[in-house]
Amino acid sequence: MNTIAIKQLVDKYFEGETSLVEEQQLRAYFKEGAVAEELQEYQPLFQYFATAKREELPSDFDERIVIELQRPAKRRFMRRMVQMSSVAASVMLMVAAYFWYPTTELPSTVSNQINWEQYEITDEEEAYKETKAALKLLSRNLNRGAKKAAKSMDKITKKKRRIEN
Amino acid sequence: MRIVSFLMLLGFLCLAGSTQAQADAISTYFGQYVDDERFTVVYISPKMFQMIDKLSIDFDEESSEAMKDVVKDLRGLRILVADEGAQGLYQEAIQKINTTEYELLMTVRNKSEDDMQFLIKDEGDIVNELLMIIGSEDNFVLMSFVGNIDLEKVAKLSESFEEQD
Repeated sequence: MNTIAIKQLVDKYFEGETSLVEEQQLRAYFKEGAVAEELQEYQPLFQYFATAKREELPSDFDERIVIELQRPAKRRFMRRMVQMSSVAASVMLMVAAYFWYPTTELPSTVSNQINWEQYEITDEEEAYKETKAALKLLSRNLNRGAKKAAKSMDKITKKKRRIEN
Repeated sequence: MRIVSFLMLLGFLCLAGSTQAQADAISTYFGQYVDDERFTVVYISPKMFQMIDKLSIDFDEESSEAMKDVVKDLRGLRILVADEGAQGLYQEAIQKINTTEYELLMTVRNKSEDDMQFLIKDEGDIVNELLMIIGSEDNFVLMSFVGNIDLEKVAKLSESFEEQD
């Protein structure tokens, strides 16, 4: 077969359009060894196909596959142990932090037991009046504070102006 | 799976932490005052506020719409009042509060008038709790308003009171 025909076949092969017979021809050509220079880059490929086809399972294949299957099982166990211990460690950290951190807030856990109910006002009208009085006081004081702040701000700005002038 | 369960645990712990942090300032910092004989205690529960809101308040014809508007968003009111040792209690109180949790809104200190401090706990634009501490010569007052508190509305309340007076 001449080089040009082989080259066409190779192109056809890479497009996936060769027939089985044509592929056989290609393999035969590259096996012979007398390969044209421009086609030498394809030689290993087709030679590989030829040899790979001949390969057989070694006699101890079954044994080896069993060993291989057992090994990852062990590894999987180890990985699980690592994961579990990291989770356990982070949980421990969080628990530790939970008990360590709120030393200042500790009274709150105690005070959650305050029995507010015994001081609760159970009459709506009284409750409303109490609320109203409380809001009145709050509102007045808020305004008083704000007014005072405004006044002193006023003074400060006046003084500032005097200094500037 | 393990990651999911771990995340759930994490979320659960956070939730547990946050519910604890939602306690009001009086429960958190002044628990021991509540059962103290020197104090007068008033408590209005969230349930009572719901009732007041539902009844739309017929007890008090004078009460303005502005007032109702503020009461509507309240979820709890706690008041502690003491007649003795007011200055000492005031100093103790303002030192006790954790300023990372409560933001100081305003402090008023004046020779002739009462000392006052306003603290808020907010989440974004919403004020969840407002704490007013007053220390006069013969009175110590602690007030904790819990709910959705609109400071502007509260400040405007005093105008409507002045119209009535």
